Order: sequence, then structure tokens, then C-alpha cells
Amino acid sequence: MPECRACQAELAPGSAICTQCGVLQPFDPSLSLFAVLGLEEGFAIDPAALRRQSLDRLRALHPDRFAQADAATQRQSLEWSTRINEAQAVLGDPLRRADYLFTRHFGHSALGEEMGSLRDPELLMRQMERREALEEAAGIRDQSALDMLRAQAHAEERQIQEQVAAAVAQPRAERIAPLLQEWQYLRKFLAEIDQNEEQWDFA
Amino acid sequence: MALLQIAEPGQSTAPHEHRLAVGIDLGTTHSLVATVRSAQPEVLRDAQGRYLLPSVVQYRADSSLRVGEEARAEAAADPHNTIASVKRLMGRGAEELQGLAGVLPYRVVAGEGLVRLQTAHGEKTPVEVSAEILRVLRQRAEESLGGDLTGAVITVPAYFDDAQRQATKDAAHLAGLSVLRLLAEPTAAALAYGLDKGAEGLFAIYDLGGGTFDLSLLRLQKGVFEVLATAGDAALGGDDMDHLIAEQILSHFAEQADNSPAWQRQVLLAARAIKERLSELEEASVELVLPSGEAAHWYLQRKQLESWIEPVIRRTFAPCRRALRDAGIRPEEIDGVVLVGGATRVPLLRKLVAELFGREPLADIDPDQVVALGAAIQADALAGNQRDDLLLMDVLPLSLGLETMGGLVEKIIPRNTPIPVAKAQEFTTFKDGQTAMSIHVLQGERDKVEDNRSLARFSLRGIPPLVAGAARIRVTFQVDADGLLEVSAEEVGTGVRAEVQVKPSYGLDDEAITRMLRESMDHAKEDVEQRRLAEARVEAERVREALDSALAKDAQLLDVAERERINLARSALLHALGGNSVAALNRAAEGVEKAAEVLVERRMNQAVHKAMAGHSIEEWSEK
Repeated sequence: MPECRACQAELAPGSAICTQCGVLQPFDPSLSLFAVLGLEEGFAIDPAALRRQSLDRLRALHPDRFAQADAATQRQSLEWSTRINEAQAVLGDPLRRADYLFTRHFGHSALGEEMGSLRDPELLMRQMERREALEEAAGIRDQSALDMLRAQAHAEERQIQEQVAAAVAQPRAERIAPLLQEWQYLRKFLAEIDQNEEQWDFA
Repeated sequence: MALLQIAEPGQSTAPHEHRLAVGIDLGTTHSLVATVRSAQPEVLRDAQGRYLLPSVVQYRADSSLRVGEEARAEAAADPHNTIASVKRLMGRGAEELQGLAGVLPYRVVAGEGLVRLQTAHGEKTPVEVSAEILRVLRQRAEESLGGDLTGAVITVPAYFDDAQRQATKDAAHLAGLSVLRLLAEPTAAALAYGLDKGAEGLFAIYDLGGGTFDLSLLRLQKGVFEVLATAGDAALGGDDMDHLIAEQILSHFAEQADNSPAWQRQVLLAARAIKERLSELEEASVELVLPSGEAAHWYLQRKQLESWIEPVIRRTFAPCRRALRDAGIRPEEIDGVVLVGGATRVPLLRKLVAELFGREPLADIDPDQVVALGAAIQADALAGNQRDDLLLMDVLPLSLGLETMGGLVEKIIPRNTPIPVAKAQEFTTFKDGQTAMSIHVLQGERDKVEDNRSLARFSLRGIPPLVAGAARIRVTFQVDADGLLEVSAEEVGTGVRAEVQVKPSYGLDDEAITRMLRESMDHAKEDVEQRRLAEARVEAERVREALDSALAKDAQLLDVAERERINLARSALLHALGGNSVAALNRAAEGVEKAAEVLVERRMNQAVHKAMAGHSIEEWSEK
């Protein structure tokens, strides 16, 4: 059991604040993102619980709480809050959450360069078709066509998410990795739609 | 010992339990300071009852300094030494001023790095000019709150980049303020609305200041203020409207007037005045004095004004759409639009903003005050006075990136990421035995290095010498709750911490800050001298008045020689009052007291006699 840095009271693993003396504890980098928020590890997650836990933790640990504290305490508060924000961002996004779980399970990301590019020709074809449609819509500044492409991509994302949720019961890297990769492609495509719109704004 | 004690004894104020903390809105045109008293935020006023301090500093030829209204009054007469709108120069380089050069009549010192202005007091950086404004506000706060400040929350435009934020923090440091937090202006405004008006839901804060524009989308829910997205333009503001009007006036009088800085200043002030009048009236005119000394006036209709300024207002709409897109929000989902900044008083602006968001904007809280009031609430909470349920979650306004091969930028932390945030990136060496490397950090959204703001170059030293590619240097970019970047580095294999040296592109390094602090300490010494002189003068006046009133009543108690001695001491005191020497004042006051001892003694005896008249000694001793 870890001990409080100030009063040596025994603390539950992952404790940020000592229940005995109220002193902020050093951040432990080995804590998983789930543990940082006090959530059970798994792909299924309740978004309301994620938000509630994040806000509760930030309320107690945010640097604003320690504006008058010594530099070391401020530093710890900064590290805790940074990690809570990271947990919120990663776990709040189903793709990043899935890849985080994949990494913890298989020791590497499904989306890193070492995974190579897409090999499935069907998938490649779909990606090329999407690209062409985007170029056409962007070329004539067709907002409604862009909106439709965006809606389609969102629908495909939801399908993949369901497939991933079904696949995590018996995790196999060769089943899950391609799903996450296609998901990643859809994300890039959505970002390109945004970029096109943004260029209109700047122009 | 004193002649006669007039003042009540020991009226010092009791030590205050409440920690004194203030919120400061350091604005382009005006600055103000607010605090929370009896759970209510309020702005603090100067001795004349004014709360808006014009953000103008005059470095006078006689080496004195004026700040605020008095400096602004001199702007036209002394344009080179009277610095206004300095916020537009914060954290900027001399070469970035091209767009502003025609507008600002200052003498900019050529060179690399941050802007320097040539004034009657030598070269001044925008940081130093801002520090003078902050110093006045700090003084105002300490006088009206009666004590030293625990700290201050200073607001910055949400869209300020790292260099601009750091410059603001440096200015506060120079002014002797302890910065509790840098707070985004729209977030501050939301805080004032959320706590004062009990607003909940999704809000768009439309903040058009003198020189900056920000649009922030916030979710307000039970004490949580969560910034979802922010966008803006750090070089767009109400000043731009003034300049458009000024150009019209200048061309109208082109044949009667030269382009002297004094004339330009006068025209700029006139332009602002007529813009403000046309927010209330359909037509208005302003009086001008031509360089020839001849009086002239210039007339304008609101319709005409609106046709000139509409493009400025429309320029704010692209950032509005960008923020909505980043937050994934449609305009109709928004529960309220809050207007902040003096420029939002313009009726056309209110109309166009209402059209954009499909609802009438709110302006229940004075748009000039709302930011300072929100900052005061945050300062109060940070000083530990109350409000444990309050939580502000802000974002990084502009993406952070690193220079990579071919002059391109690789983004490491995208814009609108909640702060604090950290990102680690691994680098390796490309030569055997390499022990140092350099990293160029940029901020902005564009792909090419030259299209973004250069923040700093970090050189890493002390990397353990290994074969090429074997060292793995993990560089961590940490953005804190103020939105400020800090870089640390470590070699992963050996755990050796690399030394990080920062060379800010448009900032002050630690050495410059230390030097300026030392100078401001000397300044502070002068301030202390000034105060001691003022106190000595008050004391000398008090002695003189007491003496005069004692002489008026009881001069007959003295003989001629005694009276002569007192008169001599009195004229010495009057002489000292005409001078500026603390020592002379104190000496003369002591001299009067000494010469008047005999008078004090006789008056005392006389008073005792009067009191005892008609009473026997026995009566007194029984007491």
C-alpha cells in the first residue's frame, strides 16, 4: 500500500489526496488512464460517468486549487490535471480508447507506422472514391455535398465502432487492427473536409 | 512632546482576514481593476471616481511619467513619447509591425526580436510600457483596499499566443504583481455572467476589444466553465474602425493639413469620438483644430459610418464559424451570445451578430467592466477566499508545432486542446557522439514555418555521447493552466536530463527581466522617497497649523523673546515647506516643537488651573 508523503497514512492505490491530512500526493505515472479517473478498464464506457469523474477529479486537483501552494505542490497538481485531461481526451474518443486498450494488450499501437499501410484492396478503393468525391465538392464549393460526405463518414464510423465492440470480447490483433486502421482513415477524411471549409473562410 | 495632539490615536486598520486579490483587465484602449467585496465583484475607482484608466503612458522630456487620462490628453502634443494601444505590440517583432506602422506614430527601434520604442526615457519595450499601466492599477487597488495584494488575475485575449501571454506575465512581474493566473478575456466575461446572472447552457462570448477579437464557446454548468473552442484575430479590433474613419477625415482635410503625428493623433481621437456618438445618434460632427490654428468641423451620418465599418465586423465572422466547427456546435444550439468590449456598442455590430447566431445578444453587464469583474471573481477564488465548486477549464488557442525537414511544421498539440496538457516526442541524434541539438517551436495553424509564429528555439545540451541514432531524447512540451509552454528533455536510455536553453523569438530572456526588475526597484526607491517627502510635508503642515491656532488663542502667555524665537522657528518651517528636502522638513518641524515647548507648558498649566478653579485640593486627591 502506498503511504502519504506527509503523514505516512496508508492510501488506496491511485489516491491523489490523503484522506487523513488532505495533502496532495505526487503523481504516479504508472497509473492507467482508467485508474486516473477511477473507471473500470474496458471498451464499453458510460460517457456521463467519464465526464462526472473527470470533473470531480479536476475540481479537487486543478492548479487553480493550489494557486497559493508551494512550487512542488503546484507541480504535482499540474501533472495530475494534465493526466486527467489526457484521460478525458483518450477515453472520451472511442477510436483512441480502442487503440489505448490495444496497446495495453498487445504492447504496441494498432495505428503506428510499424503496422504498415492498408493492404485490403477493397478498403483502398473505398478510400479513393471518398477522396474523389471530396475533391469534386470542394472544387465547386458545394457545401451540401460536403455535408453529405461528412454524414456518410460518420455513419461508417458508427458501424466500425459496433464491430470493434463485438470483437473486444476475444481480442485478436489481426481482427481488431484493420478495423482501427480504417477508422483512422475515416478520421483523416473528416479532417480533410474541415480543412476544405476552413480554406474557404480564409480565402 | 507634540504641540497638541489633534488626530485620534491609533486608528490603524485591523489586520484583514480576507486575502486581497484583484482582477485586472489590461486592455488596448482602457485598463481597469476590480475586486470582490462582500461577495460582490466591483470595479475600483481612482480619486476622481473614474474606473477606466486609458492605456496610455507618456514618457515626458523632464523624465517624469504620466499614465492614463493625463497621458492621453498629451497624445496629440507629444506623439512620439506618448504610447497608446501598446497591447497590439505585446510579444511582437519589429518586422511584424508593417501593418501597424502607418497607424502608430512611434519611433520603432530597428532590430531583431521584440519591438523597442524610442522615447524621451530611452528605449522602452511594450512589456515595460504595460508594466507602468499595471503599476498604476496596483497602486489604486492597494490604496482603496488598504493593504498589499496577495495576487492578481490578469486577463489576456483568448487568442493571445505564448509570446503575448509571456509578455503580459513579464509586465505584471515588473509591476510587482504576483500573477495568480492569466485568464482568457471571454472566459472572464462568462464567469461574470455565469455567477452574477446564473446563466447555464452553451454560450458564445463575442469579444471585440480595441485591438483584438475573440470568440469563445463555453458550456456553463453548476460552477463548471468549460471552454469548448476559441478562435479569433489578435490584430483586429475597434481601433480598426477608428482608423477607417480617421482615413476619411485625413483625406477630407488633405489640402489644409500636413501629415504630422500631432495632426494624426488629433484626427484619431476625433474618429473615436464620432464613432461613439454615432452609437447613440443618427448623425454627429466633431470639432478639429487645423495645423494652421483654424477651427474646423467634420460631419458624419450613421449610415455612412456603417458602410465603412461593415467589412471590419464581417471579418469577425470567419473565426466565429471556425470555433463553431471546432466545437461541433450549430448556431441554433447556443443558449446565449454575450457581448464584450466597448466596440460592441456599435448598433450595426449588434444587428449583424444577432443575424449570425439567430438571437439577440446579451449586454446586461457593462461590456467595459465585465472582463475585470470576472477576473476579480477568479482572483478571489484563487486567493483561497471561497467558491470551492468553481472550475474553469480553458483550452490552448493555437496549435503548437515543431519545425521539421523542408521548413514544414509538424503539429504536436492541436488548437482547442484543454489545458493543462503535455505531449512527449522522441528525437534521435544523427551523428556519432552528438551531445547537443536544437528544436524550433512554432505556434499557428499553417503548414510552412514562415507562416506561423516562431515562439522559441530550444537547444538541448548534455546528451550522453553515443553512436548516431542510439540516443533517444524524449522532449516533453507542457502547457500550464496559464497557456504557457515549458520544455524539458531526457535521454530515455540513460535517464540523463538534457539541459534546455530557451531563446524566445519575441520575448525577454531572464537576464533582461532581471535588469528591468532592478531598474524598477530603483524606481520603487524613488517612489518611497516621494512618499516620505509627502508624509514629512503633511507632518510639517500639521505642526504649523497647530502652532498658529495655539498662538491665535494664547500668544499673551509668551514674552517678547519667547515669541521671537517661535517666529524664527516658524519661518524656518515655512521655508522648508517650500522645498523638497525630507530632512529639512523634519528638522524645521522639530525646531518649532522645541521652540514652542514653553508655550505648550504654559497652556497646559492654564488648562489645569481652569479645570481646578473652584475645587479644593482635597477634592482632587480623593479621586
